[in-house]
Amino acid sequence: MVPSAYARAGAYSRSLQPAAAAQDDVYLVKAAQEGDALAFSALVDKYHSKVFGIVYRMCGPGEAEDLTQDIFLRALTALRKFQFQGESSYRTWLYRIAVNACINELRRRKRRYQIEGPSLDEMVETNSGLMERSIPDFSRMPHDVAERRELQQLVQAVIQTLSPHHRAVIALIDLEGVEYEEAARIIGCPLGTLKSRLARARQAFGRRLRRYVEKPASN
Amino acid sequence: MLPCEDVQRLTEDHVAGTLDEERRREVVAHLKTCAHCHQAVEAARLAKMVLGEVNTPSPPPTLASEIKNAVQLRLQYRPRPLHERALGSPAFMATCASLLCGAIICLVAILRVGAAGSSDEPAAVVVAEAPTERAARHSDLPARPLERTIHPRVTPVARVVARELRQRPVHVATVPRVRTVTRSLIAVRRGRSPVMATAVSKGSPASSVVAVLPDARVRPAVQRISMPASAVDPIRPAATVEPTAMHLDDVRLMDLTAPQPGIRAEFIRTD
Repeated sequence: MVPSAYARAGAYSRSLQPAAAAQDDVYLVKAAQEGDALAFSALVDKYHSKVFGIVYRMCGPGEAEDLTQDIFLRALTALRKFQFQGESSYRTWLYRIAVNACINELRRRKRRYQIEGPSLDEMVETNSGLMERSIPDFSRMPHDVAERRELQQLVQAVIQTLSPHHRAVIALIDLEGVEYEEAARIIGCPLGTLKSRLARARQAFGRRLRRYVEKPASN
Repeated sequence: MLPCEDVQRLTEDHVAGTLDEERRREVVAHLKTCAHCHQAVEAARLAKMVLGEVNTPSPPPTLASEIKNAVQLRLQYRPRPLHERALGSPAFMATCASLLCGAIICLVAILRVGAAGSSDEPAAVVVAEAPTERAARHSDLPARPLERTIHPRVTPVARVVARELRQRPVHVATVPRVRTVTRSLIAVRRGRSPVMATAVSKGSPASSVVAVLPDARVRPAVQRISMPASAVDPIRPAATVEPTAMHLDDVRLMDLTAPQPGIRAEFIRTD
């Protein structure tokens, strides 16, 4: 069974069909549950960039690598309890671990902020949420910023002002391209709630983005 | 026309373009008249557009290998079950050996002290209840022998002790009514055998008389009475008991809050 798991693990990179990828996960996860480190390594290869993306968007670049590693170690610890149930795939399960870890990390940062006070590297709390201390450059419109390859930083700065749950839906749906149904399973809420939350998150994001880019015009 | 709540609920589908034509028209009609919803939808549309332009950040090339190394380390040093770790730990074994030696030393010491105590004259403690001052004033307490002051609920053992009290010199102290326990049992032991026990309770009308038998043979042990000092009234040794029967020349006071060598007494909660 294990050799075939490796064979399929090698096949996943060539076969990008979702169904086949999910089937690969079944083999790899079962082998990893039996203690096969190579099978788990194949899962790391497959998903680490996606998990890194979620962590990067939700928690920022500062500790994204460490947190990504921590998420996979948590997944390794909990893997024995994982069972394929219906449409709940390994990816859904892993993303749920990632989102919960990010939310916990953000809460921990907030607590630390309240106890220790602000750090120059951290967000500053304002009436409209957490804001970055560094002053963004308001002199350019979004398309100009994109041309200067600074759209990433601008988006990241705005995302960091959102609440953890809003960051989660935007990171999953808008940035990682997760389908609504799967995102609802990852976050653990009904589909309607997810859509409402996504709409509110986008509205908050859009308003703050507009505030970023329109402020110089008002000056 | 659709209310704002419905429009907000449909915003996501409207921005995604997945609304059916009829719903879309209703939403559009609402947006033409509602600036707040219009701004919200525009903000969502802007967000969707901008977020769609953003590329997913690429992880550092070494991240996967770092994770795999961490996984490998975790698998190699996965915590063993507690009993395996304990048995394989020199520190744990050393601790066990130390505890065993300590227990043996304590056991030997206790046995030796017990043997020595049997030849000494340590005191046993007898606890009984005496009438209150009010009761004493209105009763024949001075003429009443001590055994009559023993609480009737403390039966067989108390009677034995009462016999001893008639025959041996005693040290007597009284404890006024107990305020800190609601209902407790004072047990007094001679060695392992109970000598005396009496119930005390908060607001009890009776005080407790503590008598010490200096010549009783008891095994030294730790006194465990936790009565507060304020509750102990080392008082009226001679005034409240019958002198003739008790050899009250030997009466001495005893502080129940201080350890008494050769005495073991303990509270046992009964409520």
